[in-house]
Amino acid sequence: MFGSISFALQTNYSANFSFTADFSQNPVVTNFGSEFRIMGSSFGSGYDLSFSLKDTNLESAKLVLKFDNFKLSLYDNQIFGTTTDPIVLYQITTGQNGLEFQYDNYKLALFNSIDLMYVLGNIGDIGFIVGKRGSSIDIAASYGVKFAGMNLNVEGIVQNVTSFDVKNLVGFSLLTDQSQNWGIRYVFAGAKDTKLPYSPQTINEQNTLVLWYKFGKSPSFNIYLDTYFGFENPSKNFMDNTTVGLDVNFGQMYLNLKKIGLSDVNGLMPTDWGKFYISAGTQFSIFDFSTRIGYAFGKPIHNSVNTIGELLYGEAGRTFGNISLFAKYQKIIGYYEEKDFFYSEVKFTGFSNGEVAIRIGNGDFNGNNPFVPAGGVYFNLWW
Amino acid sequence: MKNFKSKLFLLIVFIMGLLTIFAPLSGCMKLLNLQISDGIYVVGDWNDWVPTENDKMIYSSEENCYIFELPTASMTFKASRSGNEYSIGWYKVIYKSGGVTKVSSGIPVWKENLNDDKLVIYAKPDYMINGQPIGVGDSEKFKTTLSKWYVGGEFNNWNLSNGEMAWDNTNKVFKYTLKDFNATKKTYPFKVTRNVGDWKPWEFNYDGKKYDAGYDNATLQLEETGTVDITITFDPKTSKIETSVDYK
Repeated sequence: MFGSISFALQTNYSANFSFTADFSQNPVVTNFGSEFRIMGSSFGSGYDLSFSLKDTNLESAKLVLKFDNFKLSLYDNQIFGTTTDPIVLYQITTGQNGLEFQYDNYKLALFNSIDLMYVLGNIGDIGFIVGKRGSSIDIAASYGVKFAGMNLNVEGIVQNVTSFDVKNLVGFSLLTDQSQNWGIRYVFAGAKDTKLPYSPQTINEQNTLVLWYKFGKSPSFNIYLDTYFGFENPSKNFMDNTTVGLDVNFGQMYLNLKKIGLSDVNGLMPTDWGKFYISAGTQFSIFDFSTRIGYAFGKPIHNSVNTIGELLYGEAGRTFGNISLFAKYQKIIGYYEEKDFFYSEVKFTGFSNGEVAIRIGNGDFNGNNPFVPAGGVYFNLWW
Repeated sequence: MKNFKSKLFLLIVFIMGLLTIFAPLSGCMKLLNLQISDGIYVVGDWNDWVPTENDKMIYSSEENCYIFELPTASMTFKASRSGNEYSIGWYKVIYKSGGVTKVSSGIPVWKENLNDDKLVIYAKPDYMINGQPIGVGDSEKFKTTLSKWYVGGEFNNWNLSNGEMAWDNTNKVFKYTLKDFNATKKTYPFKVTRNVGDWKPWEFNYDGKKYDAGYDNATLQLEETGTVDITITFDPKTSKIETSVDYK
């Protein structure tokens, strides 16, 4: 049953050193950081083990024991256990402790670090999930079928089964063609404030509808509609909550047009257009630098600037042998605020077991990260 | 159909050309020439982030700062990044006077923790720093209905269960103390946060310069290494984080 006993053990090491300085502070704040990791993996007949030690602590580990159709997986600080149903009833996005027990198509997942456990499997063509979330029992059933060149997926969910309430019902359906060039996605919720605590599916109203259609090759087009509405005032909800958009791509160029809400256009001036977003840009090569530029005008113009405004973006990068250069800049001009973003990196990769990078600024331009004169030198070594 | 597609494509290229060449040069925002009057205002979804006279803050001598009372029903709350069960709304404070404009960063409000029909917002323009929440606070930050405030940092292994802040009623701040810490270096990163588990809701991970700070941190600076007592305070009225160190 267990086969011959043999195993292999492999270890990898990595060390990261960083020296950072924040020149926006007075006095300048400097910090020296170091991390040392040992990544080990061992596998043999009937088991797989992988682990990561950071400094002297166990950072994460995974042990899988397999025999015949059974598989037992033990986790320490690992991201595991996201369900595979169409709506994703339980999505796990951070490291957790727990175990999974799998037999054929059936799986039992138990979490030590969050109050959640579930069983999932298939009965014929119907997938099911029965979960215990705190003191609540959730049940989900899903079905998928292909016909006439189309794919149809449907799912029904009842949360907190033992205290049945229409509010806790969720229904899902998705109809697409085989290539996903067009699609209709509909989600029904028993009430406006229905929530799926662990699911990425957001519910704003009882009905959520998404339509899309892609056509053309060069240029290619994608037209879409995204809306949510209740049963009490569906037409008003539809007008207030509908987003329509058109994306055009031609070679390296793009143009995106989006209108959020259809009931708030009050005039010809952009300040009377309600929420909208127009962006255009292109990629090209100049002096062997790979370059991108873009421009946007809209409201809200950025995650951190909620008013009407404009956004200019540019980036350039090039590799010279073992040296790579990269820089990007973004300027946002809002109603009453302006923000400048800048990030630059020089990386030396000519070493067999390491690399050195010099970075300045924060590369996350989607967040509220205007440029601050802070940066550092980073050494990564591995063997 | 082919003719229509060609014309549509040419129209789109024409629009792109206008946008990429004309707009940045002339500046759509310069053309619009939008202005706001001097004053101190609160903005959020209820006023489309554009201040009106109804959004002006009023000076309160009792509170020793500007205040504004906002009905909770007028705020828009959306699901937190860290889970649908936390509802988060946002606001900013704008101060404009004598050619000087300071705009706070976005400040989150946790609806379930506020549990009140109004939100009181406080602002001290002298403290305000453009692009940061310093100088601005609100009544929700005082509440610990669903979560206390915690300090997580390198000095306590980022373990929030060791970082609970207690309310200091004399100084009206939340306070964290760590006694007899063996400091082996002069800088320690940390954050102030709420925590119902996993540092959630993430919008309240605060580094002293912005909420929802992600991987950015505040820094505790020491003059020398050795055994020290560390004190960190968080003022919910001004979003100020202050640190002090006693060297032994």
